[in-house]
Amino acid sequence: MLLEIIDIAVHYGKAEVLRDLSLHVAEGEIVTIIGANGAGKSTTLRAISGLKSVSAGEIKFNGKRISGLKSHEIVRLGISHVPEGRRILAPLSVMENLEIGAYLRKSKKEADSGFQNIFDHFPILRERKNQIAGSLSGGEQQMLAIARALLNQPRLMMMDEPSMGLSPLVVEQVGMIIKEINGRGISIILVEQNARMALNLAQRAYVLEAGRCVLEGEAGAMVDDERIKHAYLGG
Amino acid sequence: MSPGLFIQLIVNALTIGSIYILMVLGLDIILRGTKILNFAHGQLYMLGAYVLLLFFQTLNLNFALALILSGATLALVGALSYLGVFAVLSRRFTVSTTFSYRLLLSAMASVGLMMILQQGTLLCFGTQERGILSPFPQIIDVFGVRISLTRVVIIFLSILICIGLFFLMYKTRFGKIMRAVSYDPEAVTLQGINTFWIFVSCFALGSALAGLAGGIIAPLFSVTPSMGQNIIFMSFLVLLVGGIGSYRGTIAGGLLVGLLLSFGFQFLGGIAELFVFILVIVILVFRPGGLLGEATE
Repeated sequence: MLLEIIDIAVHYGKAEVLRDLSLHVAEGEIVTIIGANGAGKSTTLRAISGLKSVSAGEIKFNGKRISGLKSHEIVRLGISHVPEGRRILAPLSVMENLEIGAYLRKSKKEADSGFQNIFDHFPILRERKNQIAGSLSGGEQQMLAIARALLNQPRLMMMDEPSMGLSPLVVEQVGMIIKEINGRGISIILVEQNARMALNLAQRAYVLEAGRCVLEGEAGAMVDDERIKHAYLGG
Repeated sequence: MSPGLFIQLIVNALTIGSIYILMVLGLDIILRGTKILNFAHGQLYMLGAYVLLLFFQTLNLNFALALILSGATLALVGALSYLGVFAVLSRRFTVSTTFSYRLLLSAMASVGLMMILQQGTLLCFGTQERGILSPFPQIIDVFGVRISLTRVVIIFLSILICIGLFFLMYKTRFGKIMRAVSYDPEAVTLQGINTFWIFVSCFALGSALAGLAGGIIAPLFSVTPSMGQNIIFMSFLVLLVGGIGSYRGTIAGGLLVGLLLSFGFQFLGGIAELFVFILVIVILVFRPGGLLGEATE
């Protein structure tokens, strides 16, 4: 098992935002976490990447316990997090954003081959490489955020609401990119409000409600589940 | 006004302006990098002057070397201050500590640091004024206008330091990371970078700039334990005039305040400082983010 979350709880101050949550991701899988606003989806990702500490339970990556490690140490082990709202470094240039993404690359040569690879997949970033990142369109910013995370050379990539604020056409493009990344053998956890897109991409899904997992299973089966249809797919 | 006087006043303005620019660049790097409004910045400047005194006067080192050593020493003082005060403080913050409260608490901590450095210097060096003999005592004659070489050297060194700083911030990976951390430390952590040491570095770099400013000015002004108190408030005003988060704004603000003070003192006397405050009020009313600052809301 690549990632295993065992009965974790997360608190913000005294408020418990995640309770008894267990979840796993196998090598090469796309897993989605869906749920309403405030259900704890982003918190789950933040707990995995160490931005938020867990108050109970443990998280294992590749069999090794990672809960308790610092965020920057967790990235080094191969978990990249594309946070909610993309969080690109707006005042820096596109190229500078990528350079910071390539921080963990050992040599300049390795970094350059990473950039080459990124530019081949996202030609628009090559075109815009000297532009200030904040001047990119929403879709381009999302691609930059994904590209930056890919430069970390992850085995597991976590994406928080990659479709947020994007036009339907761009959402479709992002979906294709996610599939392609997965095709390279990178496992993916996808958090989405756009449950339809997420369920179409993923093999398995977890449904969170008020910090607890209320349902888990094959994504394909969930699309047809009456409760899911009613609650998350709009009828 | 004779052209000679005019040029001398311009040179004076550039001298004062360049010191403010170095001070405010340091304040700004610390403020944006670590979210600390550093009230102890004036004392770091004062310490820079004392360290220069030590290396140049007492140990008889060459001026350039002594200056580099005051920058380096103050970088170390800054790093230790961050580790000993602000890092300890920030460990006490919890999720319910709001951003503005964090800002207030670390500013208060910096007031404490200011007092410690101030009183510590008084204890070690006493209250008397000291001075160094300028290593550049010559008066140069430019088309009949007599200008002190010391001032020219101060301006030249400040420009050199600014160029070095911009090279560091824009051309090196380390500088790019410091700029990135100023904008969004969490996004930087997620790239595998240990942001804690970047915070330490930002504080050290800002302190080094204060130390260099103090060292550069030592051949011109007398060195006293209170020299930091006088400059810190004026530096905050320059920061407000230029705008937080804009190097160009800082440079424009420093030069503007330099001109105002230089010409003001010549023609109006001590009341000139009043005009700086009026300038700040006018700018804050019409451009709350400062001349070229990024904060406009």
